[in-house]
Amino acid sequence: MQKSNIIFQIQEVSKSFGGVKAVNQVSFQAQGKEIIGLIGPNGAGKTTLFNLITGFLKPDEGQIYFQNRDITNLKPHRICQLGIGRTFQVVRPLSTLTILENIVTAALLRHNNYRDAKEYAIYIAQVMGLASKINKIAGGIPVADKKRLGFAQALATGAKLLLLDEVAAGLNSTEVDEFLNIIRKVSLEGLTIIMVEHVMKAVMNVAGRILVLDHGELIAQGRPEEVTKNEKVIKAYLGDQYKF
Amino acid sequence: MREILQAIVNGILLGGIYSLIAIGLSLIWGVMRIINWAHGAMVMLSMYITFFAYSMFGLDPLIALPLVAVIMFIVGYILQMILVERTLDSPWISRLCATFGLMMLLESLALLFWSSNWRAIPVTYGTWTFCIGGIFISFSRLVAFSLALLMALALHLFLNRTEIGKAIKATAQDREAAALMGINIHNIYRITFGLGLAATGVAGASLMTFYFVFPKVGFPFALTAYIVCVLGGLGKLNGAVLGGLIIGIAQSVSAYLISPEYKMAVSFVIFLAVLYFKPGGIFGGVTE
Amino acid sequence: MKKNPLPYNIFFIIFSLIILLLLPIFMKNPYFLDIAITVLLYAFLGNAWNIVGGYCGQASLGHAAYYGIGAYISTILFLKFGISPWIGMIVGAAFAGILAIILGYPSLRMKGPYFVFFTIGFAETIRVLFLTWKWVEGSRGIIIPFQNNPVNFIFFSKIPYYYIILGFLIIGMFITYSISRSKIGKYSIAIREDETMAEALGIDTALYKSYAFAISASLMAVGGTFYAQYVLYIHPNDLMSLNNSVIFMLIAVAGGKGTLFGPLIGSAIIMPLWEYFRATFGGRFAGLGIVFAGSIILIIGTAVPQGIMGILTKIYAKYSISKDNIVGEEK
Repeated sequence: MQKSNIIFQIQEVSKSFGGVKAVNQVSFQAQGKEIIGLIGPNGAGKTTLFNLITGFLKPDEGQIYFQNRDITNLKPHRICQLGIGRTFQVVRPLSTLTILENIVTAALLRHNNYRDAKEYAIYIAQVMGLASKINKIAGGIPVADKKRLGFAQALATGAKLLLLDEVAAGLNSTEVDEFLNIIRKVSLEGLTIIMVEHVMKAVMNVAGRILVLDHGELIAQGRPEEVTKNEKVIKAYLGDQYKF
Repeated sequence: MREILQAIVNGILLGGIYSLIAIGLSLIWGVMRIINWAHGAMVMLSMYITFFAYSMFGLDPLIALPLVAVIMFIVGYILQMILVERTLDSPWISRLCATFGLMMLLESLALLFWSSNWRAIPVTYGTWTFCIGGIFISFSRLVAFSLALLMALALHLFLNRTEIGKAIKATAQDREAAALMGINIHNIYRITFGLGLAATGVAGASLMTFYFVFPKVGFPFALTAYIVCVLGGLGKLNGAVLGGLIIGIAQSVSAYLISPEYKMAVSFVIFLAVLYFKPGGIFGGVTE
Repeated sequence: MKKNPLPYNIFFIIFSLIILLLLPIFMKNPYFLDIAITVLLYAFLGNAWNIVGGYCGQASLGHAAYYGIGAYISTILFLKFGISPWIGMIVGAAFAGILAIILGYPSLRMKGPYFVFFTIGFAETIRVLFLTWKWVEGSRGIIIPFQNNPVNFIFFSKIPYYYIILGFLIIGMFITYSISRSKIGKYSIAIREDETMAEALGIDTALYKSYAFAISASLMAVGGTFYAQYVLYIHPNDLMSLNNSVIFMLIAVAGGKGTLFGPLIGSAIIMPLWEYFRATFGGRFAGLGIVFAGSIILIIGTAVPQGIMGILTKIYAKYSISKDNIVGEEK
């Protein structure tokens, strides 16, 4: 029997751009160690939602809570300091630095001196399978490694809630499986994960709960098996080429 | 009261020229995302060309004006081709260095060849003044103002009514899409730079009807032009026009109310206020 | 910043240091000593600019304002209140640092060209302010009477000035070095590379930019005091000009912005040439020095954005490729 430990709450959050509601009254919660998949057709507002949560955008209305703290209007760096890490859909490594330095920069958030940060960064690199490449310049590595790096950086900031924005995109089957393993491992160690995904196989296999966004609204939520049979969800996807 | 009105009128007249200089700058930025730090030096160059057209061929600045505009267009086209083009894909500091270096080069070459002496053209109509309701309007400044607005209008029509103009606008919006549509981007860039400098040509020639030239004359004009562009919104041409007039009036009125030395300080305060409260400028241009 | 694989060979550094320390003994001619002092001063100033411009990526073209403020504060304190310029220098540095934070605040959110505009306008406004301010003698400038005495930071021979500026430079470069290895430095570099990503990594970009600015401005002010005590005449147009700001940037960029030795190399190459032009051609030909500088900026801008350090790094990298896959290992 699991005690409910809700660490993240988003209540009726909306955001409009020039009259178009990109996110419309979205509410949900997340518990510790949960892996939540966030799916929906293109333009459904998933990345906007991430930007709202992480402080890059301000909601027009609604509240966001993390570990019982109101983070609605905080700046991005503050939100990261409080324990929410993210990856970006289009990877953005610090390209002229090495992989190691990229991770060290992230690790400096929790380790005040360079040496400790470096040790921790090496450990994270190992977890992410980047140990043999730590001295490569981040700008010149393949996409899969850049994604690993982004993930590593988010981990290194000591995040308790990880927002992953399409980590599986552009990766082959093996790479996706590797990522899923890391996600499972990391979740077992106590992290909560919300992942935006289009690669259904990836998210259905690893998520305990799925949220479906369409036109900015949360149209369904539940276990993967339930959601795939949900009529509204199927309708939302009709016409898109995603395979179930 | 009349003095303030006079100051405002003078400000508007001068503001027209600021607008024109700023339009060139804004256009270059809007299409190529480059700040032409040599823009003021280009004004200086066109003023010298106008001067020599007079001293060597006896041409009145207003007569030489079209010629100067064409010359500056060609200069811009070539400069884009041999210099600025190379920096388009380099980090921004390259572009800063390239255009800034150009400015230093031009100013110092001007100093070298033409010395720091002020040069002016004694035009026959130099002292003509109208008096309307107690306000004095100098003929030259009025002509300069009108030409500036005419040029702005011409540019507007060009950009919106001609094929090339539309191609320029398309490139400004999305360079890759424009390329895919078959537009020769590099040619567009060269034409744009040429147009931007042609605008400075018109401004410079107009200025020579009532002002004087020396190697560093471009600097305060450039500084003001940057402020005008920010005020109106970088990339927004109508913003540049409005901004130019506003700054012209602000400078003129503050010169009267406080002191002429504080012109730039006042412009700078306006600049700061705009950046703070409405970073996109009056018309909300691209804030990147 | 290219990862610099040069091992900063400790022997090479010690060797250069010894040469620099012994230089005045070999350079009896005060004219050459003056050039050497100028090189070191501008290396110091370029290094100061580098902290905020090279490492943090905020290209300020208004740094000359802090240079001038430092000079004026120490001079005014000295001439009007009898306070030793050494102390005035510290006061000036502190003041410049604080000013940088306060006045820099509005600029923290400005990006790209807006930021550069702001710095230029800011410096120009300060320059005009000082020009019209009667209490500091504005447009006439201030002459510092020659009362040579170490306490007054005035010396008869150039040699003490040489060692002082060398000392300052070493300290300045040491500060840069420490910063680059510290959290402030790593965060500054992240801000330079990608400000959005930096925020996402928990970096308070506004705070760290302010740190970089404050340190940079303080060092500039120290340089200003040195200049004042060396030349014994200060004037807003000599100190707070856009030309100066550009030179600081040019020296750092030409040598290699974001690198430790960049400003020193840049200054060592540019300043002697500049001085040569200035001395050989006076008056209107002073333009030649600027023609030269303008050309350098142009060439660097278009062809070699990484500066001389960048070139050296590439050459060194070519010779190291045989070692193994590792590209650049930080010592």
